Amino acid sequence: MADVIDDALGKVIDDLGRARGIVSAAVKQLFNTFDGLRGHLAEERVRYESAISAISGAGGNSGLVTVIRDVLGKFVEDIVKLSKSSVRILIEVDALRMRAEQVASRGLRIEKIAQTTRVVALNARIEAQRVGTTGAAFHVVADEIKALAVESGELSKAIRQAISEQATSLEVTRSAANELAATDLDLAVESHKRLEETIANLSNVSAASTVALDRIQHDIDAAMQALQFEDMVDQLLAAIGRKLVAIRTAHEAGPNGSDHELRLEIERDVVTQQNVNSGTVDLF
Amino acid sequence: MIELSVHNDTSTIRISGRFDFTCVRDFQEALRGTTREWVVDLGETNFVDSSALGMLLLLRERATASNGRVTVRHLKGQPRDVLMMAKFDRLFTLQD
Repeated sequence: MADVIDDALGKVIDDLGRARGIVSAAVKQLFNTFDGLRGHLAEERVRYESAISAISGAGGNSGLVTVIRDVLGKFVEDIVKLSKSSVRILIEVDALRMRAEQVASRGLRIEKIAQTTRVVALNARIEAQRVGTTGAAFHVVADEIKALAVESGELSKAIRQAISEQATSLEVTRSAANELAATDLDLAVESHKRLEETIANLSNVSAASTVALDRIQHDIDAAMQALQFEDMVDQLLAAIGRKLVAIRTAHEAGPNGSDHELRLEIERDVVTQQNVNSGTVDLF
Repeated sequence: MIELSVHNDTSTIRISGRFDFTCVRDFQEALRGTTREWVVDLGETNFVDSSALGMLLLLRERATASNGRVTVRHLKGQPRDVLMMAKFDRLFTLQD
């Protein structure tokens, strides 16, 4: 019976030693894995922060958001400037048209005067004809007046024709100015709203991601800290081993042997901790 | 449609419906006013395009030339969105 117990204790001591080795290797692997995770997380954080900086800007550099905002602002500013100039053109075109209409109206009056003058010249010629040779000189004057009346009438017609052509050109100008002046800005407003919403969403996502990254970092740190329990477990297992050796020695000494070593081992508390968060480790 | 009313030294331009390039002629008539203070009431306006912004800027030029000012009143809806996007709140006094 004594031999069996002795063998059993020997096996238990061996198993304990193997358990220590297995736990130690597993914990080291876990620690290395978490350490790797921490490294990957740090790299990802740098990449993420770099991407966010490129979008929202940092360190005096304009981000994509600022660039898009500036481009949209410049676009609207240019459109408004163009519209202002176009409205000014429209106003000037209207003023030109009004003045042209006034000139055309005066040209019509000139034509009427020319017609009347022609009638007067015709009457004067008839009268000169009637008085015979004494009216010959008057006949020449009447012909000249008629010629002047015809010429002024033709000039007036030409002016009215030119004004009519100018009116057509003005209408084309007006139409072009209208097109330049009237830009529907609803698309720009929609783009502006969507940009601001995207910026707000991006800001929220960025804040949430930063919190999540911090939390993961914290959890990894906590896990790595918790893995330090391997020291405690190892020391506990070593203490158990020593106690078992002391028991075997006491057992081999028999009832009359000394129990001093066994008592010492039993009374020695190597690890006082009850969990991984508190207590001390006796480092011998 | 544009309505102009003048009281003391203030001209009020009320625009109902669309404020776009079709209003240029009426707006031009309104610009002939000689007051220093101008109020543009957009309470009944449901749409503005870029030409409306151009007209407002011309009015502002005119008012500034005579040490006057332009107040834009009762902005809402699409006209508000457009004017705010164009940062007209920096150029005009806006009143609800």
